[in-house]
Amino acid sequence: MSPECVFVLDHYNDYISGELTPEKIARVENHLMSCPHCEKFLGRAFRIHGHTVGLLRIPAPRVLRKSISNLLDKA
Amino acid sequence: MKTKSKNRLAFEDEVMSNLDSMYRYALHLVRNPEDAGDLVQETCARSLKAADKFKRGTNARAWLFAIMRNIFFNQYRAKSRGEIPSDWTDEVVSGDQRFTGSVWPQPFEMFLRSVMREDIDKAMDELSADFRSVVLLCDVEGFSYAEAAELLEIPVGTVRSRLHRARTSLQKMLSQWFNEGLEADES
Ligand SMILES: [Zn+2]
Repeated sequence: MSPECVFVLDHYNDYISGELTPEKIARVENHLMSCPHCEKFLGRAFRIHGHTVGLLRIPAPRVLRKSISNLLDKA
Repeated sequence: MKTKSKNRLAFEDEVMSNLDSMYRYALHLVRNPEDAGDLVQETCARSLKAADKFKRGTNARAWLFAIMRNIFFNQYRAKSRGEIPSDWTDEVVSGDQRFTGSVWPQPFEMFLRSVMREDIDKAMDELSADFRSVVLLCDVEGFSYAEAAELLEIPVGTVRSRLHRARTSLQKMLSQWFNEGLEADES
């Protein structure tokens, strides 16, 4: 494992969160182009993250939406 | 009928467009759909009283969440029951298609998604409330670390470390799903 692999491992969560500086983003992405192992690792992390977030992103029940809409209309 | 001011209409837009987020945060706080609905109603009623002070461009969601959190700590905490029943509505099962995409073969997709959702709920329940709240705010609602830190009144570094640990736990608990999902996706 190269120092750049370690860098990706240390920063991939912040990368997913969009909390890295442009310089660090470039460093991560640069490494991904030359390291299939990290590319696969990060791809998997993104996929798991996307699925989990997507399924947790439930909508408010319609009946609640309607009652809030009424509340705003009346006020 | 009284004409509403521009600010007031902008405020109403913000409330309606943040309603799903408010419901999810309420559900996270009170852990049952009925109380979550009440908490959202109360948050809206409370925020309406201050609607005239609302300025377009304000981070309305952070403001609404702060009001909700306040109401929760003052009123609901004692009676919150701590369980999310599995009989959520059908809309709940479907989640947000924009984020999950269509990885599964179509005829099984809805079924798989509903089963997977149950597992994700269970995995979320396994997390402590502190960890769940950062997953909800940062991952589900897209708060920055700094915004979540401000709402939760904890340091940014704590948000970061809790989020990373929570994600690792969720990944471990759900790994079977994602290994299968990935194989299907990569074939
Ligand atoms: Zn690497």
